[in-house]
Amino acid sequence: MKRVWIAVGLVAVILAGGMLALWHLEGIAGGLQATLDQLAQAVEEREDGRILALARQFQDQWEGVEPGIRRYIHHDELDAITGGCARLAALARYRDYGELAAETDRMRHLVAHILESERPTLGNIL
Amino acid sequence: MLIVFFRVLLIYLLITACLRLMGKRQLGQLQPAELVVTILVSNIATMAIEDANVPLLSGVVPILALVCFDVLVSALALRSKRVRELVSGSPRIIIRDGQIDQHQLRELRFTIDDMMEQLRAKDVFDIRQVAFAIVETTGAFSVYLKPEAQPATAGMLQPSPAGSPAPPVVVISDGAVIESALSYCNLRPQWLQKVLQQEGYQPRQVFLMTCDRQAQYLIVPKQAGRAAG
Repeated sequence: MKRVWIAVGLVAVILAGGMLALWHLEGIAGGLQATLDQLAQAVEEREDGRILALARQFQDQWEGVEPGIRRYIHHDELDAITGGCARLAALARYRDYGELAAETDRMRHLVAHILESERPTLGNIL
Repeated sequence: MLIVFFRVLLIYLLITACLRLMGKRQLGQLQPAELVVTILVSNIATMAIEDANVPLLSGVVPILALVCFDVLVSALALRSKRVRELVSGSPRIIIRDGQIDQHQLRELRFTIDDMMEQLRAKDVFDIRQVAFAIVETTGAFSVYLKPEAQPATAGMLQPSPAGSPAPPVVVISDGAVIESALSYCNLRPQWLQKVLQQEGYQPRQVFLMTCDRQAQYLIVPKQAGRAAG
């Protein structure tokens, strides 16, 4: 009987941990998307100073959250965003607006994809 | 390389804990569902160890979940015969009073060669000697012989067989006295001290001492070099 209670407890912890991780990820993705949205707007408006600041802000944000989510997200997906961060900063510095806009859009999709692929939907499960 | 080392260590500790949680028997006694869990756990553990790009939690969570499901299904099967039959199946009698149940053999996809091999493994070479032959839910084969084919037992040869009904137990293991074993034999530490004195040993000089309920004992002293401890 003790084993059954331990098993029930573990299943409860796994489910609670999963929901907490998803909630945490939603918060992180929301913050990152907000910065990327601002960056996209700044690129549209060609505001150089703001572009560079936002690119660095995104990089700092990402470097702050990545060690935490690395514990439950596949590293390949995270590495793609890490590489993209470095490109954003460089593109912002050299004012390659076309490439910068494309990279910003790619980052938005990558961040959205990480969140979407963690949701326990039927499509993801199957 | 160090990462792999630590991952192996963590997965090893996890699987040991999981096997304790499952409370499993030897491999040959596993039910089909339990065998599946064992195989899955080993495969998941391999993936978690080999690929450092995969978070360790991606291995830990499925392993824990599988083990927990197994425990819960086992508990349910304990309470419900229907669940038990659904999960483990039921034993099938394939030989009854020397007659082979060919329908059951076909259902089990058991060939004649399989059946004869299992019988021979149980030292049965004549089907006519078999009262019942049962294929258990684990796939194990149980044979009950007809009385005239059963080997003679001590009870058959004499009305009150001599000897202890209980086997000897270890009372000293590598110098350490096991008090619970002494109690099992209905003996006291004082008796043990007296016996060891008579034989000229200290407990720490004894490698192995066994005793039964008739106070019949066997002492194996430590070899020279080990006895100094």
